[in-house]
Amino acid sequence: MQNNTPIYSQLEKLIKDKILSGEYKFGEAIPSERKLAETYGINRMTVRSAINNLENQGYIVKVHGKGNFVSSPKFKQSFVEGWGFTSLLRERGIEHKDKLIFSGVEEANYQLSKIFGVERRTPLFRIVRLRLGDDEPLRLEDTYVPYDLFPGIESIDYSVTSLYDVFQANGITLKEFRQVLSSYLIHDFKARLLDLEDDYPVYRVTCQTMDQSDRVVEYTVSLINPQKTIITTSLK
Amino acid sequence: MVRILKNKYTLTSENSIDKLMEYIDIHHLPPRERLPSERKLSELLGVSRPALHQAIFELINLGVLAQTPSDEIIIAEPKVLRNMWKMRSFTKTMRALGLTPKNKVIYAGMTEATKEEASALNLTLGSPVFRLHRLRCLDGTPMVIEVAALPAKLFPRLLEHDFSRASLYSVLEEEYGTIPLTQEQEFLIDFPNPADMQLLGIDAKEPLIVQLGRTADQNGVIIEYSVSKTLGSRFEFESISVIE
Repeated sequence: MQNNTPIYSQLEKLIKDKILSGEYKFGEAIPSERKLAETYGINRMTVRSAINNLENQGYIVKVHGKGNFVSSPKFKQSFVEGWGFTSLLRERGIEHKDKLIFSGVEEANYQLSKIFGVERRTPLFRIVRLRLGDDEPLRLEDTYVPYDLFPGIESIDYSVTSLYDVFQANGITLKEFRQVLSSYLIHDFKARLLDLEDDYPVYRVTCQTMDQSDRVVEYTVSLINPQKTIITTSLK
Repeated sequence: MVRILKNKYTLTSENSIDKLMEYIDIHHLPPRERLPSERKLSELLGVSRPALHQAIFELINLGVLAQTPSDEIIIAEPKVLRNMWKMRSFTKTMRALGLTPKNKVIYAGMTEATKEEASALNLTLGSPVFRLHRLRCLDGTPMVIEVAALPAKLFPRLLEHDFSRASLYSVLEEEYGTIPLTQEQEFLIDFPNPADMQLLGIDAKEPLIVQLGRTADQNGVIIEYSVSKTLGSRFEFESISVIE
């Protein structure tokens, strides 16, 4: 039997599958290039081109002198399939950055206690971030997470770390995302943060995320500048 | 023990909004019910008048409350939730929600494709298209303006139908054997133009959710380009993704 797919793309798929299945875990190193070449009886150059492709696709990050580390949570792809945020800025070479506006512990008020299904005054961790693309503000994200979801929740730098990466690293497997899109007239300091005039119409998207035991692990309200981001969907 | 820190982000308006939401919920105030006077509410909720005023306008912004033409503050009708992943006719969806949809045809006719229509339908500028401009009403209130364009050479006899009664998609299916199967959509948020304001009976400050949709049939052929403008105060769009 002959398989016509080149070896490097077969290896690429193999590693990708191991990342997606969780065999290679987020933040951990995958076997060295030498080890991979040995295991599968293939050339080092072949291994290198597979690794390069995986790096380009964002699945792994090369750390000089340390090895190749798993970086991409599987979540991102499936999310984008269902509901896309496409930046209207230059696709290539766009530099995304998050600016942390606030993070800290707050008590669940009436509405949040209903959303999370918890008692009032239950501690929640709140993270407010401004997402920038090429230094221009794209959206303001106001996120709540149960404070007791995992230890050390307040010691993470959320301006550089994705919340979903943190979830995955702490063994929280996400199952369901319920998002609702509506219109909203932005005003006051939120308008200032997004560099918009008062009462400018923006997208407002809420996202309620459940883990595998149906616990609400996240609630986010995003205000999105429609001049710079377009929301698309596919109906089937 | 968790120490709750005072922080700078929580705004006083968030507290008053929360109190007002709780008040509306626990009193089960029905749609169109008038809110008590600001003076009375401010006493009931223990919230200052300016903070309450701000909270009321935030809840109008969110579509929980509404302002009548005579400036009374009332409980809004709940927003209609439309799904963002399934192809379903507007009429059928609204009936399933217990609402009575009615269509008014503003224009129906054979005409020439605009630049936008031509590019979406893979036609050249000025190609013949059937254009259907409808105003969709729910329970008698105008809520959605929809302009659909279809290539005339695929559907040459659409003019024979009265689309204030007939469903466009049913005609395509029954008469032409074309099943509208998938639709790629883009969402925009915008203010109404003067024509929108007149048709929907709204003022210039009411945001619209605009959907640009390209519909494909069972063979992947692009059969329709549509622009829908929906009242932002009355509709929201839901997407549920489940990871298997």
